[in-house]
Amino acid sequence: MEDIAERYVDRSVRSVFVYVREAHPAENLPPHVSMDMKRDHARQFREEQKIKRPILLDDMTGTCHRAFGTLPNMTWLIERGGLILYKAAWTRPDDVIAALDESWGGYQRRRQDDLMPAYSERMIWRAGEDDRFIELSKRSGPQAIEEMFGKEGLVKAYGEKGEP
Amino acid sequence: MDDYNYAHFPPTGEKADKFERFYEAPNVGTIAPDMALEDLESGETRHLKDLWKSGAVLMDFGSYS
Repeated sequence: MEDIAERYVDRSVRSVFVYVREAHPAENLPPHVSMDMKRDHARQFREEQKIKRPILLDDMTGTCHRAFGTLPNMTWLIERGGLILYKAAWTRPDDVIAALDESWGGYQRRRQDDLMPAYSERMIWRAGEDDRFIELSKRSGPQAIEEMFGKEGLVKAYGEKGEP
Repeated sequence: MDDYNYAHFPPTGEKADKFERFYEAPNVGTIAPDMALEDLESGETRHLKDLWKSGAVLMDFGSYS
């Protein structure tokens, strides 16, 4: 998503990351009990993952998160003035690029190309990426791995001993 | 949503792989709700409607975990 942010910034698409509740709370990234903790987690994320796009923090009760559907990894594309062009229950970068090209691109060309708006919905598929989840979740802590994959996941992550 | 900041995955009463709440969220072709968020960098409050005043906004939601 960082690459997409950079690629489209010149074309007046501003990218932001909305930091919400921890999806897989664990030892090193516990559930937020204060805005200070939420800020702290977001800063760790920004620095360690080298996030360049602005991070906006939702409040403690998830007011914004709930207004947009409460899922952990959504992407929304909103045109100037607030018109929703695209909403995705899961962020899949190639699908986001397709939406920018079709939904946003068409909106920009609508007058010169004499385009009328239409609408479609479809199911998309994402890779399971269990191994990647386990690798990334070592940062959060064993709880995140165990709650997804049980003891088997812990062994996969840390070897026979099943702990870091 | 009393337990919004749940301590254990999966959150009880919510199905992370289902889309009910997402279906209830605003549709494509309608106007998105304006929300107030805190800018991590400056600490200032940002309103989404101010972000989309001058151009499109691409928002992805998430957390570190």
